[in-house]
Amino acid sequence: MINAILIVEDVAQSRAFLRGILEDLFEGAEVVEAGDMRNAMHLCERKQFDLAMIDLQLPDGDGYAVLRKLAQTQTGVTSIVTTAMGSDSAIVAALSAGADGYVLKSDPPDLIANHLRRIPDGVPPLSPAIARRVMDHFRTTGPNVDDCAVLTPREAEVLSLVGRGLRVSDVASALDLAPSTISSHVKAIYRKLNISSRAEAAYQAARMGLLGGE
Amino acid sequence: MSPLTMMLVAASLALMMSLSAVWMALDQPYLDLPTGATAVSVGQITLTDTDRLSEPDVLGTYPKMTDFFARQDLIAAALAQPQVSVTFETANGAPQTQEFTPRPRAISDLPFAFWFQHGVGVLALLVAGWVMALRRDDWGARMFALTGLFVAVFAIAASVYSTRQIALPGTTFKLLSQINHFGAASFGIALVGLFLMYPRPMFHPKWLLVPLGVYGIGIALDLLYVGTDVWLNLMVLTQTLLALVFAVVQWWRTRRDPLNRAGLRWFILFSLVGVSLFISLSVLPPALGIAENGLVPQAYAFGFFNLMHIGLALGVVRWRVFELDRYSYYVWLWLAGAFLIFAVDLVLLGWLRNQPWEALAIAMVVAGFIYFPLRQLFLIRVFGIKIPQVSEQIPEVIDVALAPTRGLQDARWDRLLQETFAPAAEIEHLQQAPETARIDENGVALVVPGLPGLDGRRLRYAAGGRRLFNKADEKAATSLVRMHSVVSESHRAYERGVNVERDRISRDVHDNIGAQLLSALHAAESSRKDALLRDTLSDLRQIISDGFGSEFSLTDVMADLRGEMADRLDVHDIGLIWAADLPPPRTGQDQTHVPFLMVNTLRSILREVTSNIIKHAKASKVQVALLLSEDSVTLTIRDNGTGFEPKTVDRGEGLDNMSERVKALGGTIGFYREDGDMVADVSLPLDVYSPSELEKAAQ
Repeated sequence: MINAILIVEDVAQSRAFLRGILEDLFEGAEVVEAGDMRNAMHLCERKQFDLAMIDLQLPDGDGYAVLRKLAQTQTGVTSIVTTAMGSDSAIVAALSAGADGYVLKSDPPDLIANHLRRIPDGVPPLSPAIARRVMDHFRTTGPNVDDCAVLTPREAEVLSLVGRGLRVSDVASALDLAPSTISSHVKAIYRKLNISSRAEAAYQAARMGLLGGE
Repeated sequence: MSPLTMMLVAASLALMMSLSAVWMALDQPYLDLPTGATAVSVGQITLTDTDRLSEPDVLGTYPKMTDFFARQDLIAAALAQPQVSVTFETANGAPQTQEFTPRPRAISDLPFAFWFQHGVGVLALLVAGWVMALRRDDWGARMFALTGLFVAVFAIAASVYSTRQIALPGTTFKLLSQINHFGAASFGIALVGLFLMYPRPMFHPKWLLVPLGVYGIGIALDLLYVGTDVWLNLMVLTQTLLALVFAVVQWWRTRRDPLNRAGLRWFILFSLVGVSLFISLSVLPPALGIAENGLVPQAYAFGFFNLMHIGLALGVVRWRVFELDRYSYYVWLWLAGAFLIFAVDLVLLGWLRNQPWEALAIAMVVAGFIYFPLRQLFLIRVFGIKIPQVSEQIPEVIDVALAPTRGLQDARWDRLLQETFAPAAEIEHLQQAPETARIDENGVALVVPGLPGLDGRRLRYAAGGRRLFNKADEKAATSLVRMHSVVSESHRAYERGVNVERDRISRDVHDNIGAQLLSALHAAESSRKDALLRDTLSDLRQIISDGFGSEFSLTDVMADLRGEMADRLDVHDIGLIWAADLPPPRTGQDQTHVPFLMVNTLRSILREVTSNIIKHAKASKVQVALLLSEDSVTLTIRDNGTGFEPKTVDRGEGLDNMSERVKALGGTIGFYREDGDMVADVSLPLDVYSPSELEKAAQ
């Protein structure tokens, strides 16, 4: 149940646009807006949210910092990055940083609503282009990552099919599996993306001596 | 001749002159008189004050001098006897007479005044060599060098007779006196020439022949003892006055040249003060009858001439007299190094001669293992010459070429040249430089051509003057210049490339984004506006992700379009059949790449059609096929909705826009009904160019 929603977005019209969609989708939920990173950080400390919509480009910083803040201060929040022109790699970086999904603000409102509607059920959106980027990410990640951050063959297959333009339902029928199974694979992929990125970051940090001494 | 060689030549000349004077001085008999004793009579001859003159020039006339030499000859003959009775006075009075057995004069018998005069001469000659080594094409410097040479001539000649014990044979004395006269008069010519030419020549150097001719005649008259009065005195007087006049003229001429003027003032001060002190303290008093001898003995008065040389040495530091720089002192350092080694060798040799045989063996071992390696090391350190290594200078060349300002480029280029020719003592900037590097001034200089934006350079004194520039240096300079031009050319090419890329990007922005935004602006329906703006944002995302220049894999493009379309249709419960998971009918499609414009057009059409289906068709199923043929891409969209009649339908902006886009790429688009389905059929040629590219190609 979505009760409290945070929108972090610097363009007032876009805030109103998202608020409209969210209020339609989640009736009765409280929607709180922040126009910049500083306000967003402040709100994160004062309130617990169920859903956060975070713009990647903010006037006083970037959305990644807000994502990290949410991870520190919130329990059980679903973080969605929103972007109009963010590149695919920026989106993958956000997913690696712990975002649970992303929304393209340039998409038609009904399409955005459709994506957001699935979030409480736990089906994150994944476009073919992003899926291919994620595949690249796992392909180039170093061998230092532990097992829990390596894709299973099934997950890799799902990712590859999504990358070729199939939707979750199409993948389900192609693999003869239930759509919910595919959804959980996609969620697992998201989680592993986050874990592997963190492992990679820790590995790189250790290599540069930032964690030295132990 | 490299500057160091020139110095060595000057040094050996000084050594030769000094050695012959020493030989002449030692070739005389010597009496062991008590210290401080003055001989009063030799044999039958009673000595007069005149006989004891250290410099016979003070007699003033040739007859008197001839008499003087005749008496010297007599006394010398008496001294040449195996036994001679000499009466002498000591400082405390009473004359004594004693029998002496003359013995050959030894080096230790030569008085300090003898060596002092040699010192004056040697110093003058070395400074002359130094200036000549570094500035051999400068007439002022040449004249200065000549003054130094002739100081050595007259001082060293005088050293022999002015420090004789009692007398010299008449012919020897006369010869030495003539050498002294020749040196003094020639010194005067050079002094006049010096102020004619320094700091800036007053006349063409050929006019130097005038004083040379006039005083040449004077020297001839003097050497031949023509007439009565000593010509030399007249010559020295007029030469000093002339030099003074020319110095004043030069002073006036340098009124707008403060550096040269300061240098000149300094130099005039030292030269003229030196010459004047000599004349007033040593020549004038006896000439005017004030004193029999000079106030300062001539032997020491010669030291005043060295004021010129000391003044020059100091002037170089402060005012670059003769354009010499501080580097010029290195030459002295090397000369001293060479001398040191020579001296140490001599000392060692002398020491070894006096060793017993056992010690000699040890000494040989010591010398072999310690002295010679050290000596070699020293030689390499001091005289070793760094061969220019251009290949090691690549980073520096890049630094020069990429320096952001002209001034920095200049400074770095100078430093690089300095280091390469280790060190080139002097760098002059040339407005007019030759096309290629070449050796100039007989190897003293190397001329380096100009670089784009930088003047040419004239380098002087390779390795600070220890060697001459040679072919290897010429090649090194050529390589440096070539390296520089390669680096700066590629830098320019890079910047050109950046500009070309920038042009291309702005063209692409104009063609794609600009056109779409304009159509959005002019679109009447707000839903079309939205659609066009969305297209534009998608294009921008694509550009940000992949760049304009990228080519897109058709497989990926298909996947993206399929995903997007499926999502949109899904919202409205319309099924999509697009054989995404099946490999395309043609092999090699994976490798097919299409340009941005193609992706953009395909997506735009697919979106438009999808929108239309959602809005108007009431369809439940859409079938899409994207096929690739030899030279085109075909997109077929088939829906089972109500459809429309292409000829009669209210076309709206959407259909027109699609047609235009397809036409712009040279493709075809058609709508028709088939088996109850509505079909949109688009074909685009694979070789797609943007309108501005076509425009460019047409020019």
